[in-house]
Amino acid sequence: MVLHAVDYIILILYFAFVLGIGWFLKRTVSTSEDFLTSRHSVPLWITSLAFVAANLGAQELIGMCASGAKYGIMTSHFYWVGAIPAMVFMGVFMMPFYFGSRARSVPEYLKLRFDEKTRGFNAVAFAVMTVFSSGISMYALGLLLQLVLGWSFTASVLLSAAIVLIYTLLGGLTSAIYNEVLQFFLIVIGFAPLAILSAHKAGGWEGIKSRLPGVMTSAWQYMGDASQNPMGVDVFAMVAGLGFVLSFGYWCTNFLVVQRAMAARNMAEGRLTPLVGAFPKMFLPFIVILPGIAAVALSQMGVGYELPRKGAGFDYDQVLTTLMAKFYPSGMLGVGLTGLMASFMSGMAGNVTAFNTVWTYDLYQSYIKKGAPDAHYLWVGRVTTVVGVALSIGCAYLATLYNNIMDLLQLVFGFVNAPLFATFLLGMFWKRATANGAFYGLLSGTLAAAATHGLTVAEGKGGWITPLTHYPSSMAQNFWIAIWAFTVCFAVTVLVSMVTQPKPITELKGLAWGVTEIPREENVPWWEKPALLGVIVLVACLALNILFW
Amino acid sequence: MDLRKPSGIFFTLLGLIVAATGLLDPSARAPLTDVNVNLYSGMGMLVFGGILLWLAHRASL
Repeated sequence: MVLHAVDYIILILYFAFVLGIGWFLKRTVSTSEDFLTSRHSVPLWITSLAFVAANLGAQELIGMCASGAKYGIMTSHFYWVGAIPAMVFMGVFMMPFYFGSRARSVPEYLKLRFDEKTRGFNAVAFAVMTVFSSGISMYALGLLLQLVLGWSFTASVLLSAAIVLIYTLLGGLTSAIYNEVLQFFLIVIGFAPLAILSAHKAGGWEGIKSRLPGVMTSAWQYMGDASQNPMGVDVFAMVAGLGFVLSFGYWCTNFLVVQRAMAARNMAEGRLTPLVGAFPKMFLPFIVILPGIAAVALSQMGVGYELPRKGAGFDYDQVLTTLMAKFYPSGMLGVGLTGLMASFMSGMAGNVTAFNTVWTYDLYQSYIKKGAPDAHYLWVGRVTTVVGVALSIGCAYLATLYNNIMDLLQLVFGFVNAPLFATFLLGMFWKRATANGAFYGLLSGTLAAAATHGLTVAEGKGGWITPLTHYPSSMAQNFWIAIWAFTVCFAVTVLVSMVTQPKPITELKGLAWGVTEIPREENVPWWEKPALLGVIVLVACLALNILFW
Repeated sequence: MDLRKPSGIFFTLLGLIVAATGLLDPSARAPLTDVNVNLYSGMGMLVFGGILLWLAHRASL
């Protein structure tokens, strides 16, 4: 792939605007809450697009296209079974408690609802996780740019990290969120033409269907048995593992996305944030997954496109960039590449801003220095931004040295996140759930996840205790790890809660179902009613599932 | 700050650059395309930028 002057001009124009937005938002920051939480100042359309964009990192973009080529339209389950129902649940049922509690972060909610040790457990795990995930995605991007454009790994990693650092340092969370919206637009504009061009060249959806085996183009027909589809999962593992545990865990409890909804102006807009975000989210598969499927069809047409190879197999991670090289002339190529950089930045800024808030409020202010004047915490927040970016860069280099360690770490993060949704579900909807119940539930859920990994084998991984069961794919293994982690966390939390003292009801105000005031909706128009909007989203999502059955 | 304004300006400029590239070199093709991708995409960006600017302008009245 060769870039020309116009492509570089586009890239520079984008960098200038991103930094400019940070510069303009500089004056909105005068307290630590301005910097770390945006203090409920962000309009609905911005929070909802940022909610979707913070998750749309470069790894997702490259990975979804790769999965499209590898597994076909089944990849859309990550959206139509996973994300969308979870986003609806988050908006309708969970936001009232996040807002009602006045917590500034997800760990802080755990502190208010349960106790200090539950918060500490979650805060530490989350802080470590964000730093490593932004480091790993930085590594992935640096490697890709090196491979495709011959750019120096160090130069591209440092340049993109520096830009994220500057605009986050200037305007804090508000700046990260505003830029995420610009990034979202750019990702759509940069990649939608690729989806149209590649699908058109492959003969449209009908043409693609006629060239590929049925399993690539139908989302549900081959899900009856794990052996029928390339993902190696059946309906139960898909719906319970991905649809319920993993997606609800991610979209409802991961502070990276929840933080965007918490920045909304009031509870009503906070609830609407994931619901409004669900509309663009639902159609993203057509931009991120479709080109991957079209690529496989094109490779069988003899028109001059071959799937990128690595050794004896395929290098699916390069499908997106090889398509760009075949379909985009100089000019549009610059826009696509800028979109890729933008997706990387939105993912990284999301991680850095979430890390900032959790470190400053949940760890520093709670354990290291309590009761200092606010200016001190603003200063700590700024320093943490620099430290967070520096740590991410460190992790990116660590990943270049020890690739296998990163695989392991990503697995460990799965252990941390999987049981958390059970804790929230019980905390929010069962007033009897106790602090000790939550803590030991989380702990045993995490251990159950590790044990499941130790007792099962998939693609040569796991089974370090003793291999009892084999799964046809890592994906199936991950889904089952999540299912066990959730079940054990749920059961242990309930059991321990039954034998320990619950908090008095008066202390649960704003934190749990039945003792939280939910704003009345009698006088608001229908499009501002969360439950109704949720139903519309779910019906539309169901229609998409049926359309690609 | 009304975000629609800077985003509108950004996409208008981007559209101008990309559409101009398409006009100046109308025969430029990537290996697998048979249309002037730059011209059409650039025009799309111009329209999108214009809509954002119009919305921002309407809100400021």
